[in-house]
Amino acid sequence: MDKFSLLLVEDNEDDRFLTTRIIKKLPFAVDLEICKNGDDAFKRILTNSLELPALILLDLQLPKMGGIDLLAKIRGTYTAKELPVIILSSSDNPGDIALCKELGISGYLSKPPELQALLTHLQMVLPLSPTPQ
Amino acid sequence: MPTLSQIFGSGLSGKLRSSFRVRLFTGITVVILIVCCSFATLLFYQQYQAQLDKRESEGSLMAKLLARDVRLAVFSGNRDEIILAAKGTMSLPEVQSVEIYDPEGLLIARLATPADDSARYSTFRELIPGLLNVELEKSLFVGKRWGSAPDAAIGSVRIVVDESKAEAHLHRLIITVLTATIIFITFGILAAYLLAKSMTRPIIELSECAAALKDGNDSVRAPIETSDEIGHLASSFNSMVDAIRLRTRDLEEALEELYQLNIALEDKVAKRTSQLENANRELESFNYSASHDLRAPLNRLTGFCEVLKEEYGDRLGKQGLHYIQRIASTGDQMNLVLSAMLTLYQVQQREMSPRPLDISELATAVAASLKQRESDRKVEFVIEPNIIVFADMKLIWLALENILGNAWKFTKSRDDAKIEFGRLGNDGETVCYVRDNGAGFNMEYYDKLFTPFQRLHNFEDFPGTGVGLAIVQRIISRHGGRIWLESNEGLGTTCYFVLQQHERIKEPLAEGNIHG
Repeated sequence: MDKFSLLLVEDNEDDRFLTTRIIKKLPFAVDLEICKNGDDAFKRILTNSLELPALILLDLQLPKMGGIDLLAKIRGTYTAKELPVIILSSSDNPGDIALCKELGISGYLSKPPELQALLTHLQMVLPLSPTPQ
Repeated sequence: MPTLSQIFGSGLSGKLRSSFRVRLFTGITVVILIVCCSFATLLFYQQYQAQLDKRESEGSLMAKLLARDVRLAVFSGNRDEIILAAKGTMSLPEVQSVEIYDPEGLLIARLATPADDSARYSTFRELIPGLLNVELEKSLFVGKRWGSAPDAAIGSVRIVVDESKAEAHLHRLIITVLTATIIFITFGILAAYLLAKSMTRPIIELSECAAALKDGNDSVRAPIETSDEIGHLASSFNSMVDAIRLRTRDLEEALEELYQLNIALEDKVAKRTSQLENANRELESFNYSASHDLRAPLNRLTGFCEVLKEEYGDRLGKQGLHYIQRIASTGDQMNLVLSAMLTLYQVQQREMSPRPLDISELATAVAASLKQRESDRKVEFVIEPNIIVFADMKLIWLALENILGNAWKFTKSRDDAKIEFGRLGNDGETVCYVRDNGAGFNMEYYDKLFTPFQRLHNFEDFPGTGVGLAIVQRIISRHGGRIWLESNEGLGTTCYFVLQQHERIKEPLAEGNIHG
């Protein structure tokens, strides 16, 4: 069975709980890493560049470094510039969406995500074997 | 050759100078010329006539005197006496020749100086009278020579007078008169020039002052040199300039005051406008961020409802599950409201790209999607085709979705539900309408219709956010149009709207004008 490492960047405890719960329902094994703010997440990506997560689930409204800033910084690195990122946000501000798309994202989901929507997006990015379980 | 205007000066008022001064000068000169010439002609003619008369009378007097002088000598036949008398006459310098004849015309005596061919001569004849005082002389020479005609002439004299002397006199006269005339004319013209110049100078100065005044120099003063009419004119002009300057100053002060007032007013208006704009922007952004910031916790709330249902559902019992369901649907309702608020904001912010579009087609598509959503309902749609408006497609779609959605919603309790979309011709503008035969509303509450979150019906009867018509109204007002409704409770509602012609479509407004 496939196992994928995901990095969840989320400051709100409730959202972390709800999102984690959804992720646990995914039909494949997930190695979930969590960062509570953008600075930690960026540090994590820089310090352990050999073991990068397969995908980042990124909240936009973060303390200190915001989600869009983090995304821009990731796209600016050498090692992680092509890392797939799915945005989780409660905002559907067209400006934010456009900005994220410009920087390169694999999906934009409202938060907490619905299981089916999340799965659909992950299937498009991750090399999942068809209909596991 | 210098022209008259060059002689009399040119410049700013050269035209006036040349015209008025020259006319005056020419007039006076012509008058002087006419007067002088006619006077000289008259004088000359009169002198000439007098000379002529004088010569005539002198000549005949000479002849008469000679005739008398020689009468006795002729009578007595004394030749010496005759010669003597003739010599006496010849002593006058102008006499060229003297001839004396007997009654038969035979020459008795002739004295003459050599005739000059170039000279002109006048001849005077006189008969020598026989008797002068008939009674007295008859008694002296009774019956001597002239029997029956004692007073018949006894001969005649002929005197030829040289006219050249008199002509020389006449020449002198002509020269004198001509000289006098020329001198007179010269002085006259000089005087005329000086007069014209002195008369027109103040007028020209005045006209130059007036020209300067016209060019905006209101400190000009016309010189007052005389106390005549022109002097009066100049002083009147000066007081007029003073009055103008005074009035101009008053006017400028009033203008300045008005300008200041205007600026103050504009300042105030700008300040108020910016305050209003700020307030509106704050309200809008509050609306926006509130709906955003509320959505995250709301999603958590419904998320936890899900968690609760899944993990503790079996322990909550039927009633507990129902409550959780109520919480979740309340959350959903709130989500709808937040979405509507966001839509309201986005309608205001959206960059419009209006173009001609077939609103009938849009209405048909909206009707189809409504039917699809609730396929169990039976609603008759009557849509007038080919209504073209100039509008932003997405905004008009949203407006139609709300208007037709309302009609759809409020006709749900009717089996013969009918929704019409059409157009009224009205003073050249296109009034579109959507008519339904639904529940209608009480027109008393018309004012609340377009206020967001104001609802005229129970949520249980007709669910909704209460923002729909506010959104529609914003869309219509962004198209520079108007919207109004007519309704009868229980009979139905008609919603009318007009979209502005394209050239008057408004740019995005800073003020969030929710109430029309």
